[in-house]
Amino acid sequence: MAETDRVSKVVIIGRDESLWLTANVLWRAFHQAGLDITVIELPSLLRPGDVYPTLKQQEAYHGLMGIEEAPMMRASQATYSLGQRFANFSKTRPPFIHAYSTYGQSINRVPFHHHWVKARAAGLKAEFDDFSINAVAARQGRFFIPGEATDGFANCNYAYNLGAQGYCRVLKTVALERKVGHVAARLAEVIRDAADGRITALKLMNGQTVEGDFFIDATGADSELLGKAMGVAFESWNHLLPCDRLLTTYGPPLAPLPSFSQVAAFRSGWVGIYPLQNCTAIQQVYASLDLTAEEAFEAAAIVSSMRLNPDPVITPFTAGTRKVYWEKNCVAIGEAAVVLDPIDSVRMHANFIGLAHLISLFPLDRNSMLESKEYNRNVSASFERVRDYQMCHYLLNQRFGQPLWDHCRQIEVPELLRYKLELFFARGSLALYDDETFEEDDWIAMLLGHGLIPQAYDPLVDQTDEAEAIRQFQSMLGFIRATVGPMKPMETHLGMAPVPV
Amino acid sequence: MSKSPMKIVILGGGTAGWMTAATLSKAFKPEFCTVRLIESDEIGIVGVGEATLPQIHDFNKFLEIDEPEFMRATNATFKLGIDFRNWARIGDSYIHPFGIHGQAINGVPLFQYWLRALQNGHVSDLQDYSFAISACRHLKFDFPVEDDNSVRSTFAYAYHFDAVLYARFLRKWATARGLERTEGKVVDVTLRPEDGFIQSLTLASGEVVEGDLFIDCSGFRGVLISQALKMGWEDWTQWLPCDRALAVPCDRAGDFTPYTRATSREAGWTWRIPLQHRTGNGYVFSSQFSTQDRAAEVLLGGLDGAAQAEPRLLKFQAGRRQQSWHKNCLAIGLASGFLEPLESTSIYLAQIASNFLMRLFPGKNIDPKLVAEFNRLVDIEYERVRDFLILHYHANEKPAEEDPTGLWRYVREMPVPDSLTAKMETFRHRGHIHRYKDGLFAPPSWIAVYVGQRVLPNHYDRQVDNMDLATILEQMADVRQRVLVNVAALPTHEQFLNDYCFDPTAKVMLEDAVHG
Repeated sequence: MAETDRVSKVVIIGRDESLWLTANVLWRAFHQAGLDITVIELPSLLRPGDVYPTLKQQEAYHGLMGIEEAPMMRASQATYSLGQRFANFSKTRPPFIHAYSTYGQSINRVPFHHHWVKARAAGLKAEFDDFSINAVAARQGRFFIPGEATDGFANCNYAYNLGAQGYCRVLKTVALERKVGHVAARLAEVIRDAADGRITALKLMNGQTVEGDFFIDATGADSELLGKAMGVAFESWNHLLPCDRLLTTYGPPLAPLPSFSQVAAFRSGWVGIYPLQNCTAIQQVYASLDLTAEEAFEAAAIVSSMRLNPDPVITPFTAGTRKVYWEKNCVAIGEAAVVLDPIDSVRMHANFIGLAHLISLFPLDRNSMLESKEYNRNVSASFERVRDYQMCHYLLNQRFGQPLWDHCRQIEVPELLRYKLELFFARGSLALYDDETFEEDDWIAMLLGHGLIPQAYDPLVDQTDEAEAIRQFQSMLGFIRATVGPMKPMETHLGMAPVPV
Repeated sequence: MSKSPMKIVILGGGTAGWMTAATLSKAFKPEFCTVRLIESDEIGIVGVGEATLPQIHDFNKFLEIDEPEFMRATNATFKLGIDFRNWARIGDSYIHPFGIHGQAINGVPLFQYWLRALQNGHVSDLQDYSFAISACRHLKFDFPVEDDNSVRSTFAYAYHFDAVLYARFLRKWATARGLERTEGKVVDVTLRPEDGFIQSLTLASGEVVEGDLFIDCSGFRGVLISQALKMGWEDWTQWLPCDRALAVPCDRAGDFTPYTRATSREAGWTWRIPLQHRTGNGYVFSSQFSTQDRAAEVLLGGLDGAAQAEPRLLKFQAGRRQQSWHKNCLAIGLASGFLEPLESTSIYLAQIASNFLMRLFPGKNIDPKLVAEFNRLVDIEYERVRDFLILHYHANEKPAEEDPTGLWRYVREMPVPDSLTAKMETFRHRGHIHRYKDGLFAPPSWIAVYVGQRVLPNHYDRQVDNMDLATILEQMADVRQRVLVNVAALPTHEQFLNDYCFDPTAKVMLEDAVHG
């Protein structure tokens, strides 16, 4: 067998969630495998009221990192989320919930949404999301932990809205208890091997030099190591996702607490409302060509109908990706690798996409990191599939006569997404590719919600006669009603005092 | 429903034709869609002994087929994997099981622990960690259990059966449910002048059969997709040079194996498929590397019972139809693609194609988007299998004295598809296998074949270092032990089969078949 010159020292530099998630995930994966982990913590950019909305996969990653849910929820003033409500993307269609659950059940082996498409054309009033336990519970202000009561009918999950400062404190505390090496400092210089270009050490402002075999860049969109030091180019997706500003602020807590988050479109972008226990986090994403900074705050207040903290932070961004994520002995995690539009709460998950692949392809030899090729291939496909999903919210809008939204409908769609949309529109069939984050029902709920109703449904639907279909629909709606009825409000699940009705 | 039913015409009554016919007639009510199958008794069907994959359970479940009844009707036996003999080197033997090599430890496949042990000088046979392989080696069989903690949950099973009887069984099943079967030979195909779609088939009897959708299950000839619609063929002979097979049944003798045997030979490989009443055999070879006479000599020389007939020759070319679905004609089975039966994929490929058809069922006005999606899905399936098959050939280390014809040197030195090169590089480095969403095969299958073909990784997954070597060795010994103890408690394949398929009336029929 070949002799390996093992990777023994990993240096992670960065801040906030990308830094601490990486530290904990790597520690859990390799802590007994003789891996020395050093964390260089740059000053946090987080402010009170900042939020990390997550996807449903978050819970599993907490398991992987050994983060206990209840204390984490308390420390980060977190709430649970059963889905996201999308409003105002069309002037004629009602809001819809993209729920973290499956929708309806197959009838005579034909997927539910085909039956719904047919029934809808014949006058059915029920919306697609009326067939999701999560969506119905969310609308009624209730929350539940999926279990026996729901398992036979649907596959239900939940996500979180995490108070960012509290959440990072939890991650940091856990990491430090685990005795990862920790230096709080600023980066002065990246030292590279003159011969082969790999990073040998990081020189810090405090005069310290930290050497390592393998460097992880968790510095956010600055991409200090991968982008700046290694010179890996950034490829803009601005032509696909035109919003370029993120405004963050917060308002008073909502009572009762909603069990979903809300994304409401307005003339120049959208406003996301993410309930936390102690406040309501606001993220507004817009196109700077369309809106000045002063107008932006005003718009956020109007769209959220809330008295907002009048000291918002506006962060410019360009959606896009680094050409590769792993170059020589440097891997970028989170926004150092990819800057996703914040829609669909995917920014947190982008960290896990990188980390999951990094664990399964962790480099074995400090001198020849052959894994980078496979890693770059898989991670890039994953990011692109997420981007494709996000693009649909913009592409499918029906806000006519507004420059940003009119432009969005004209965007040239990447080939794989175009194929997917055309097939779905033709017949309600969904082409899923390798490395998709969003599953079939996620796509269907989103596409139908935005009004992309297939022109034709599966003709096998016609084998179920209408009376039978109606009976089945009623039975599903009845089951959901009966299941949601006894569910408790969010406050009960969080151990908070119930809000008097 | 006010519309007149859609008319589907299936041409060809081999395994693919009858599987498709059965699927469609189960799925459709007659007032929605009628299915008619045209077959000719004059045209022989290719089936000899046929081996399957565990996915066939989905098919049987969909049709609600009674397992013992089906097994009796087709003289079926159980299959837990394939024994590959003499592949990387003469004298080698490995089984590709329908199962894993031991349960994962802390989320990492046992295989990675095995690699670490091996790289530290603790040599053991990976196969000893597989319950399915051990059952094969001991000629045992029983059904898997549901308890995930038991080693007896770590496998799946499939069948060997007589494909002629299988087609007959499905024919009976489908015609009993109203499928219309027409005996006859197609003498002419009429295309619609305006768009070149198939309008009708003319049979030798003079009857004209019209349809909305035509399914070509006519085998290699591709009477509709190729002869009538001129859809081209993508040739894969450069990677899979075998283009002939000789098939012969022989008396049942030797071990009653719950597995298929695939033995590498000078110009290809021979199969041995145990059935209840006889053994199916065949030699898949390359006409560039062997004459037919020599092939017959090799085949007959390797039988473990007396031949029951003269070997029958089949000619083929590895590859696939450029588009399996074109206009209103959709090819399933050999008309759609041919991959040698080295990994028993042909029934699976027919089954998955009819699943795709159900999922993308077009109605009378065929939307080209559905056609494109069907072809995309089918292409993924064929390409995945193709790469896996090529690996068996390409990864060999036969020196000249084990390679009298030069076939093995050719396949070792030939350039392989980039998709396979990339997979092999990652595996050689560290045993990593990227799990893909669609298509055969899952990582445990790749592991079995890589290791069996002597492709060993240089390193192992670092997560394995979380455990000290002594503990790893202990846990590995424990897995081997549990495999042995559990396999010892199983009945033999023969006992199990006799009990499971016992039926007094069938027994008499079997004796008639053997002696009468």
